[in-house]
Amino acid sequence: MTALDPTTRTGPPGPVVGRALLAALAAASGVAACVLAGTTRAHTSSFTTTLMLWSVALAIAAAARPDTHIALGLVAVTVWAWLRASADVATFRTVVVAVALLVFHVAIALLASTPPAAVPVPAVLQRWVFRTLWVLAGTVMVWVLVAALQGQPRRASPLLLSLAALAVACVAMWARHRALAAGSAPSPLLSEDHT
Amino acid sequence: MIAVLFRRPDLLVIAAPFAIVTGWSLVSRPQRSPSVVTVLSDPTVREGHTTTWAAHIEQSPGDHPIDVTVAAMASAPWLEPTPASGVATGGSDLTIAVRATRWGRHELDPVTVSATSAWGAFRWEDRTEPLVLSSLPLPTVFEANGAIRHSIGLVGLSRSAAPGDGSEFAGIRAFQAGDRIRRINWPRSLRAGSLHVTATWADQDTHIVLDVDAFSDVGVSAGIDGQASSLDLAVRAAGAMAAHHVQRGDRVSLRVFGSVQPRPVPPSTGHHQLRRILDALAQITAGSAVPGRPGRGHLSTPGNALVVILSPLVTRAALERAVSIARRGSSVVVVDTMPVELLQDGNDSLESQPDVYDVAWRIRLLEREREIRLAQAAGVPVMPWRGPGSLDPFLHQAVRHAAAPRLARR
Repeated sequence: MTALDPTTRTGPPGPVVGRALLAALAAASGVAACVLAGTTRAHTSSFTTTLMLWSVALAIAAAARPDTHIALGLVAVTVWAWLRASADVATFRTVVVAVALLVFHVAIALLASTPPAAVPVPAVLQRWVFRTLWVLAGTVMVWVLVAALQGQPRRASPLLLSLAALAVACVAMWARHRALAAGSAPSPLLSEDHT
Repeated sequence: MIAVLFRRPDLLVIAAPFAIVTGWSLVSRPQRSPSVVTVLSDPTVREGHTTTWAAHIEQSPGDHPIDVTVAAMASAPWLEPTPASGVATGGSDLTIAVRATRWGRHELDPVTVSATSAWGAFRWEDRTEPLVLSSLPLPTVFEANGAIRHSIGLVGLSRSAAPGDGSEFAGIRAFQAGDRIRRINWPRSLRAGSLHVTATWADQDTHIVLDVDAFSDVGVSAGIDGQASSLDLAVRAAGAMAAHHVQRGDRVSLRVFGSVQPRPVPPSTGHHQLRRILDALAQITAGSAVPGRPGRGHLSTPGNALVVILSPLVTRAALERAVSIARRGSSVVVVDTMPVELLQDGNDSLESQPDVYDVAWRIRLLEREREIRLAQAAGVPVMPWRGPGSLDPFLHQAVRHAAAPRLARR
């Protein structure tokens, strides 16, 4: 347990990562994801500069106000930059961008989960780090699968499209069921947030 | 879907972390709303002491555990939560230390408790029920060396002239109906062939009536750590005197005038009585009673009791009451609880006020001095509260006067 006010902290001793450090990590990972996504192919310096400025501004704003949707804007800009700049799916840079986005997202979610004056305790940080590592492993597995499929001939496949649509629909229905109708007595106090 | 439509499987890799986090969040979402249970470890403390506000978030069995729990307590007068801004924890238990800085009944405002599930995906928030913390006054040190005028009673430290149930040996006499078995003197009974008991002198006690004037609270109160107002002084002095006399085995009663609460505490002795008196003192609200009405504190006084009136003497009610009691033949003393700094010229509390307030206060002080002189002329001693030994001059004088015949209006 820790005090929300760092000056009167009564929590257990040990390494406590400050909230400022967490915000810096979020901002740095956000900028890194955006810049890596936009500079995979040679571009004009003006594009890179503009992208850099936008990413820095959005990352700092998202770290300063983690409880807003600014972080979503940075993710959108990163995806747009990736789609505009890169066509090579086999490169490991894809994983690096995905990991940078994941770190950015996790840091922002952790900042938004606690009040501005709170310093996350080591136990909570440890739990979040372990979860992030699991997600990281899953992302690498997806990348391996995609890289393996890349060698296959690309043809229009109505069956694959239908299966993808069906899978997306099933996942959406399941998510809606879990999010809005979980349990026998859904509480109006429960609200979806940040993800 | 977009990856398939646009033939960009790399988007699957980019979106994979978000998809996994979303799925994880949905799977680990608590199925039912949790409930929060709050409790104060000790709902009654002495002023300056600390109690613990604890909250436990209860979840349905088998539900996924809560990831982060946060509680923030609003600031309340005379309560110091530590940490002041609240706590954040990774479990379902929260504790905040609450220190009461002044006597009285304080209400802890509802505390906002929020809990989030894994990844901060779902948030639950609730406000707890308000709790009442009773802070008993911390009595100041009090000692009285003078003997107090005796009354007829059956408990106390001093020996009575009458035989009765006590500890002082008086003699051995034949057993009578009603004598306690434990009083039987078995060696003497065996020698005499009939039951004999050990007789004792009854222990004497004194009935102390504490009258607290709560019509006004003059001065600035900064709690237990700082400046004391007149009511602070009166309440702590009353607590100190009650503790002193209860320890001596005297009967102590309490009456408060000028406050709707508490009810008068009837005379009794023992530690339970001290607790009752402190509880009653903690319920005082200055000026809550309508001036001019007798109120609950206006009760008849036994002629053999010693009445101690604690008042800042801002109004005439206390002195009029004291003179009235003295004219009935009871011993009465008025303890002046006006803070010393308010009696001095240019006191700090009036510095920010216009000059007219200063002048008005000086005039009132002059009137107060005149009223005190009139009361003293009527036989009512008025003594300033100075802690230990404050009542000694009066007690010595009272013992001398006790033997003399007195005129009382009945």
